[in-house]
Amino acid sequence: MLKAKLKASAFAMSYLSNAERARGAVTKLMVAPSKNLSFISPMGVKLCAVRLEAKPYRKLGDFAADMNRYVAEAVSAGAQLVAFPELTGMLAMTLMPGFSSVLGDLRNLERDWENLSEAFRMTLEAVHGFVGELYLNTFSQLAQAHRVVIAAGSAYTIESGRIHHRHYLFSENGELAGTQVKLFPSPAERRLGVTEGERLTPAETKLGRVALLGGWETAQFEPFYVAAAMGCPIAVAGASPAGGDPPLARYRAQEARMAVICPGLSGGGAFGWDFQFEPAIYAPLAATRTRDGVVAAADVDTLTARVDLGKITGQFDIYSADKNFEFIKNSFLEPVGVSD
Amino acid sequence: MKAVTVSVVGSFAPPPEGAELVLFSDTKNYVAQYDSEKMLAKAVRYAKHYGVYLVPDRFVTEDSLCLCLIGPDGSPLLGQKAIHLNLDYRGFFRRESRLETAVTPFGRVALLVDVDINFPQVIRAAAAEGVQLIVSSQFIQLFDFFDARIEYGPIAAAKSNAISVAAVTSAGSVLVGPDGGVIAGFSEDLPLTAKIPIGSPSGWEDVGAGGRLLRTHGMLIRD
Repeated sequence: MLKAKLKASAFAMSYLSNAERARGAVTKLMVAPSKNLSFISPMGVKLCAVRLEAKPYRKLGDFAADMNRYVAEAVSAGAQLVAFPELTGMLAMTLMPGFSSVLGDLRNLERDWENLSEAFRMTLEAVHGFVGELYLNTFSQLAQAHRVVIAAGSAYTIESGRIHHRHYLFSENGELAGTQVKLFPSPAERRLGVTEGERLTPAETKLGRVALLGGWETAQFEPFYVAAAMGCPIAVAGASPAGGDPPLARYRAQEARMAVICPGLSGGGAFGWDFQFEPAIYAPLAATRTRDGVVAAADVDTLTARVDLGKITGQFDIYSADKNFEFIKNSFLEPVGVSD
Repeated sequence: MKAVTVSVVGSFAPPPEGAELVLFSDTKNYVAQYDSEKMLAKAVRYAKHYGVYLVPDRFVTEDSLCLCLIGPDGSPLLGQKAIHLNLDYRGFFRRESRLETAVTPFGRVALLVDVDINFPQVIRAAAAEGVQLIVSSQFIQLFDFFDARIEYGPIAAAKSNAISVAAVTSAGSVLVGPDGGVIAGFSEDLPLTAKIPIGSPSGWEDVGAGGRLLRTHGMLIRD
């Protein structure tokens, strides 16, 4: 039954969606380009964490207008990099005719992992093409129109038969400046057959390298440790419908000496969830006024704050600045007790 | 779920009734090498007298900053040298490159010496070894003290790895459950006593994926 529904919906979407329509939906919004990136100083970079309301859309124009609302608000506050939460791209799937019926079928399989993972793959096979087309073109166009860098969140993709969870970042020219296959899928995602990424691939931006990480990665030190070694002064890692603990990003900012943008989430009722994650921006303890690692955190839709990247990456703390490569080598590179 | 009653007391102060694992809160940075033997002999007598597991003061031996765990019969169960150093000590002490663990009736235990609690790689290595309880003892200069500095290491360690943490510092202590929830403290007042549930370390899949990522970028980390 699900297969038939998906086939019909995907067929309809092949007529209703294309790159031109997505770009046109943003063009209609008559966005004036900002000058937020005309002067860049590491001592005063303005970052924005979006708290996205997870809700379904019926029209592409509404989806584009809502995403634009977040970006426009951030841009008017001076943001140079605007970060959306994980799986923002999957909202484009809600544009599909019959979406609620497909969602109902998937929800009926809750906890029946074998059948659910099969249905999940089948659904992605049907929708990932148009989801990618609408989502990526919308955000590319928004980045270009506003002339800001946008970390656009992520979407599920199928590549060489494997399900990946892929993050995207667009430059101020609308070009894809970086993508990252999620390195640590959540336990639920693993059960659904999501394959983990193998390498950290930071995005190159005018503000510096940006590591695109996910919700479950906030609980892991390794991607932040590697990102710091790769020279990333900024990471994006926050709320996700797939699970995770966003406030842990505060500790990762301290350990890795970087600014961490932690996008939030709200809503989700239409999908059977209730998201209440505030957006936040974190930095090492001593680089924040309150010395608690919180640059800004508030119950708002767009949280924009200025960070001093020179101060953040140059932090010298006698209690946490030591290095012991021999220990890393013994414990991880020549592992004993670590399952492969 | 297993649990253990942990009590933080001033060095050699009697433990409260019911304490199973006693940790000394030392206001000095460490016991110097020439006093270490005497301190340890006294600690053995203390453990036997009160019938408790004991982690006494930080001490120096073989040019290393150390912690140890003594059993209720006075036997040494675990010794650990500092893996990372407070940079004030660089040049004085050596760094250890391996983490040791020991099995006790309240689960597998690791000792984190001084600043090691601030290094997530050490806690991850403990999780990979199946450690369920971390005991940390750290010296913090009063002029470097603020609440977040005490709390971030233990809470991040517990939440990221589902390990319980008993963290003692010269400025106060905190006992954290495997879900990252603070069970007692942060408090400068002694004794600080609480029953803390023993964790079960985070999934092998995360530990395995983390290990693979570090190995993939191994050359980069070395540089």
